[in-house]
Amino acid sequence: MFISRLLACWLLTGMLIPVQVSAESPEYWSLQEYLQTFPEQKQRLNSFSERVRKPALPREWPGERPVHIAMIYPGEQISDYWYRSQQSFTARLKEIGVHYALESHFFRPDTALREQERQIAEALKNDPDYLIFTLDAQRHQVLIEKIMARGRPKLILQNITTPLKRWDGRQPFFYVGFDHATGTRLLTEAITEMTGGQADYLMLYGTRGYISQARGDEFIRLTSTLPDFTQRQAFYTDINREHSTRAVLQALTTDPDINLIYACATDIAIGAIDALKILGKEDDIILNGWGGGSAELTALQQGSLDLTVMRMNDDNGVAMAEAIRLDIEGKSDHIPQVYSGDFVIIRQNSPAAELERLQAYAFRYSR
Amino acid sequence: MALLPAFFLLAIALLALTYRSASRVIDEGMQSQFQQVRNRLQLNLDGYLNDLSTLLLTTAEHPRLASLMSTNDDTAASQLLQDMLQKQGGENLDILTLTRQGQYWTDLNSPFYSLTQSLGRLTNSFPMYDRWSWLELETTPMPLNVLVHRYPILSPLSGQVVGSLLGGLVLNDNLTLLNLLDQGIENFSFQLILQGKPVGPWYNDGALPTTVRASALASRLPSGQIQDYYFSRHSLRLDGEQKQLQVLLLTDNKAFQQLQQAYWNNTLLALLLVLIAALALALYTLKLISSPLAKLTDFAERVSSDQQAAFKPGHIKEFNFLGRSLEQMVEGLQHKKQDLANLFNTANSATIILDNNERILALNPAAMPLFGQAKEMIIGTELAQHFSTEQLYPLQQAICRARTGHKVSDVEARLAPSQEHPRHQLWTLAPIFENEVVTAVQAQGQDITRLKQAEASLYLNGLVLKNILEAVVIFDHSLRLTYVNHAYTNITGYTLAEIAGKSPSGVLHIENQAQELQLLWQTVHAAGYWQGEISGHRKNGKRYPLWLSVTALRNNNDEISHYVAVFSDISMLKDSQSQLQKMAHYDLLTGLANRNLFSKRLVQYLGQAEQQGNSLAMLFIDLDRFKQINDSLGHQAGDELLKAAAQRIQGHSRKEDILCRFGGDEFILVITNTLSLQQARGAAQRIIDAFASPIRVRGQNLYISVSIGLALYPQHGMDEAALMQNADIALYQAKEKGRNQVQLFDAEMNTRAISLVKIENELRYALEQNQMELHYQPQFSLQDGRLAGVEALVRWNKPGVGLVYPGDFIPLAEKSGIIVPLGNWILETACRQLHAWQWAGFYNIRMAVNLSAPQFRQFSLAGNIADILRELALNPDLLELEITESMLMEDMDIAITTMTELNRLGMHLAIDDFGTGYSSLAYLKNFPVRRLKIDKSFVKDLASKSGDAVIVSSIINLAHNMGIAVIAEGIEYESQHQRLRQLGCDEGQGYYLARPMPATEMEKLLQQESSRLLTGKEQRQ
Repeated sequence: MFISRLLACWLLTGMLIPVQVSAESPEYWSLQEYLQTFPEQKQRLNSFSERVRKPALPREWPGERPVHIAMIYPGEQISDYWYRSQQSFTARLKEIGVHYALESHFFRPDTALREQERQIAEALKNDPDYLIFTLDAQRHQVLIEKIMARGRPKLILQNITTPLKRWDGRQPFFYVGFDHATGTRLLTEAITEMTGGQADYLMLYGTRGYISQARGDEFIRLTSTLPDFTQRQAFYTDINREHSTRAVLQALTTDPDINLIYACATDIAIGAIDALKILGKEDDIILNGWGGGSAELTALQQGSLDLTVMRMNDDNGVAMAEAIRLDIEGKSDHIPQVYSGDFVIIRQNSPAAELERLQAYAFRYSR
Repeated sequence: MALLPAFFLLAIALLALTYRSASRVIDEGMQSQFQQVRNRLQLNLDGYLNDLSTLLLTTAEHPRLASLMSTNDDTAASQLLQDMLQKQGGENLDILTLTRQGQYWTDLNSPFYSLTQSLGRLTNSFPMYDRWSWLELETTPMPLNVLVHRYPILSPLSGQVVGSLLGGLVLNDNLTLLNLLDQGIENFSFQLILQGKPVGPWYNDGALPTTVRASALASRLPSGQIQDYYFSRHSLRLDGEQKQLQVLLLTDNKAFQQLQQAYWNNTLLALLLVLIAALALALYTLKLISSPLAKLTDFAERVSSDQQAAFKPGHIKEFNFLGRSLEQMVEGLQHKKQDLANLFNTANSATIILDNNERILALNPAAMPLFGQAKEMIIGTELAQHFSTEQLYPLQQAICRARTGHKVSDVEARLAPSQEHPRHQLWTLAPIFENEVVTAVQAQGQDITRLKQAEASLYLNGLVLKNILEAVVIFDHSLRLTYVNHAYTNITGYTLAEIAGKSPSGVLHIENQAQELQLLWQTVHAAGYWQGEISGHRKNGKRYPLWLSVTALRNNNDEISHYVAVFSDISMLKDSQSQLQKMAHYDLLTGLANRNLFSKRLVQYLGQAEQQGNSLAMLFIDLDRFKQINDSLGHQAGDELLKAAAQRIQGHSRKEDILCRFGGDEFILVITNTLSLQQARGAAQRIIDAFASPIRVRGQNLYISVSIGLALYPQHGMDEAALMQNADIALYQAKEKGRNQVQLFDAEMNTRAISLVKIENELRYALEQNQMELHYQPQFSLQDGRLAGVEALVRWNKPGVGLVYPGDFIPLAEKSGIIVPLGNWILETACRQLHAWQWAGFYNIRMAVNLSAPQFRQFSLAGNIADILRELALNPDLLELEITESMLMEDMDIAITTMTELNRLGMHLAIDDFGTGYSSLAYLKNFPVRRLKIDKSFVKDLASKSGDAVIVSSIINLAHNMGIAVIAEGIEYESQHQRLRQLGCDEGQGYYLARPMPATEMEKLLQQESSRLLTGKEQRQ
């Protein structure tokens, strides 16, 4: 949810890194492209993902020296993603017995860049071993490159799963996040199964940019081989609930045969629900969510939403902890360059117990 | 081919020259490439700085900035700078500082660096506007190299410079700048240098070793090569001016390596081409000389294969000269060869030429008959193919020696007999030299077949004379001994030394020599030979008969040259004849006359009696129970008993009587000149009485009696046959009447005998005419009433009489011998019936068949039964053979053998009529018996006589203890049935349960039984 908003923010402010996940971007590899280009990474990723899914395996010989970790997050937001990430990260570190000294810096997304730089400089003064940071402004990239030029600390870039090609040969220590393309593929498969491969659908994009490409266009690409899957109309909603409502009302008025609405984000899905309630067509049209946040889960339980793809939120924090643990154990060849947390498809008829179990798992360290 | 190295050297020289000039070109190319990279870097730097300049200029010229500065609103000015940072390219700006009235006013420098202390120096160090300058700031923790551009901020109204905007970037860790500079450049690493000092990080494309980097930086040369890397130092311009900014470029010498690789490839290619050229040249030369060479070769091949050959000259005169010389040489050789061939082919001796592998290279016409094959078939074959292994061995030895240069003679070896009459050869082997090396071996064979034959013949003659059983004695024409063989000494006992030089009488030792020899020599001289039986004596003085033949041998002049006497000892022959004579007339065991002599003498006496009107009495004597004694004590004891009995009988006969052993334990005594019947009876009684005392055999006294049948001549018969038959009938009567007595024949006896013969014929006829049939008496389980089996019982359906029961004809059949075929018929018929029932679905019915004693004694019994079972595929388990106790006991050896054999076939045996005979269960241990049948006499009074019940109970218990089942026969009353059940008897049969019935009725009963069982099962279910 928050990631969606954050990315939307990048798009709106025009400061988004020109992320391009569609095939053959000159600047980025999509996760799938990266794994195909570097097959050994796929093997690493699979075994690493298993490690993340499993309960913590405490270290036999905890290190004597605490690991210094600096964390600079745009965490002062409505979404608790970053906060939960830190929670799961530190909880996992404790469980596996990594002694650490964590220095956290949270800033609001709209914090002035120089202020962010000041915090980074502040963090770097203590010469941390690892710096957990994100990449959501061009200046961030410049700063990251300055840190890379210095050689210390090791960089963990969170909320990005598309490695930069310009850093080929000197990539940062670890990319971690939830891969939009992976989530979209799972969601597409579930929708295809639900519709029996036959649908006239309405595409509700977010803003013109990354999210819409990674989630919307990817959906179109994946269903393009299905002969009975037809896109009837498409709208850019700017990830705005009201825009979404209006778009659905308009589309269904002019094209009442639509039986599927593909929403690229939670706010869009909620807006679509509003429209379907107005039209009394909640039961006639299949509608998805994206992300599996609490709003979507509530809508699922109320029967307003048919399915969604849910991120196993704490996977990210656990993955960072495990990557650091492997690094200090000298097993850096076990660490994948990129890690994407697990997604799970949830349907309207998924039992409540199952939902609870999934929520418990997704937030296993950050409840 | 000799040109090949020359071509090779030439190619290498050319390559080296090319390589050198190409290396120079590459060096120049490398410099050019460095220049191009430098230009590209300059272009990227210019573009980058221009973008920043534009951004800074735009901000400096922002209409609000001057007013803000005039109002001293540094917050708003900072916001303006903040906006600038968000713009494209703004992210690269580390330094953004505003001065006002020549003094620092405010800034939005990156807090990433500690620039606060250096602000003064920063603002004061750039008096010039609109140009990029660099500056080294003394900051902590390390000095910073910054690149700064300064723009004036003008008052829009007055144009007054109210302040300035300083924008710039830190070079120290500016990877972003290097990333941008690197655009469009590949395979180069670079380092920016300011005033001779490296500034900023290395931009390292690929793994550049630190040592190389350091060496390149330290080098004072503008360009050069370090290890496998090229470096070059170039100046960069800032704002179009040289400002001590340089870039050090480094690249690995991949191009040079590629060139080297290319030249290696080319060198190999060139070498390959040289080799191909040399090969082509060689081929051309070969082609040039191949034609004359082929002609020479052809000529040589023709010569070697003995074909007409003439050398055809070609274009090359050297080859023509060589060809003509060869031609002349061949001509000379052929002359010599012809001479040798003539010598070889006309030789009388077989001659073979062998190569070093013992293959036949050549053979002359004289050798060919030895092989019996065409010459073409022999040439090239190995010697071993023509000689057997033992013949070949000496020959091979000789060949080996010949190969060492020696000549070997007198080697005898015979070719393998491909012909009927093999030929013998004596071989001489000689080496054939070529250039003083043995290249072949010549074998020359002399035919010695006749010699060998004569030798063999002589040897054989000697062997015959030596081993012959007849004595051979040779005298010369003057009757002087010249030869005797071994047999002579063996027969006469005289050695050669003892008779050497003696005359025939001193050699042959004939009795009545004078007369005999005179007659003998006369005959020999007259007829040429004499032969006959005469009597001689041995050295030990013993006489012996000998069969002598004397032959006169004549020479070519028909003069007697030798006499050959051949004789053999015929004393054994004479003995054998005597023995044979005896055996023909006397019993060997007892010494009594045998039947043959008896008949002859009887005929004589009968003739005399007839002529003289005398009477004769014939006593047919048989030892009672001799068989049991024979079986129990053994045949040798039996033989001794017979001898003793014969002596006793002989002791009571006169010399003129005829006593013979008729066979087995039967004797016949003919009393000649019998005066009366009483006399004859008396004589017979005396013989009987003679056996009253025991006979001692092998240390024990045996009591044996005799029975005697008496017939008189002429009253009871006129000839031998009639007398013997009637005496036999009388003997039978005597046995019947209790043995140990004399019975005189009477006519009534004869009638009974005739009746027996008649019945035997009737039974035989009945069997042939299928008048016999089988009835089956069911046998039931006494415990549950189940039908367990049947007993097959024979009936004679006699035409005009009806059914005759076995008691009325079986004893007669046993006496006559018809019992054996009858028994076999019963057995086979019962088996076929059992088979038919099985086909009808009655699978588990058991068939009991009685065996008679003669049948049981048949050696073929088991085999016959096995044949029947096999033919019908019957389970032997279902056939039970019933025999009586007496059958077991009378001939126990046969019984054990037969029963074991039957048991091995899987059949089971039951003892019939148990209790009437030996009644001993103990002996049953010796036999494989499955069932005992309690005789009906015990069953009859079972309910009334407690003693019988005790016996039956004992039998049942003992039998059960031995694992033998018990069946009772003759059950006629309910009470018997109940009692037997109580006593634990397993099965029973009798009229109370079911009478014997024909097969058709039996089938109905079987069906009823089957239904009953089915119903019973259903009920149980």
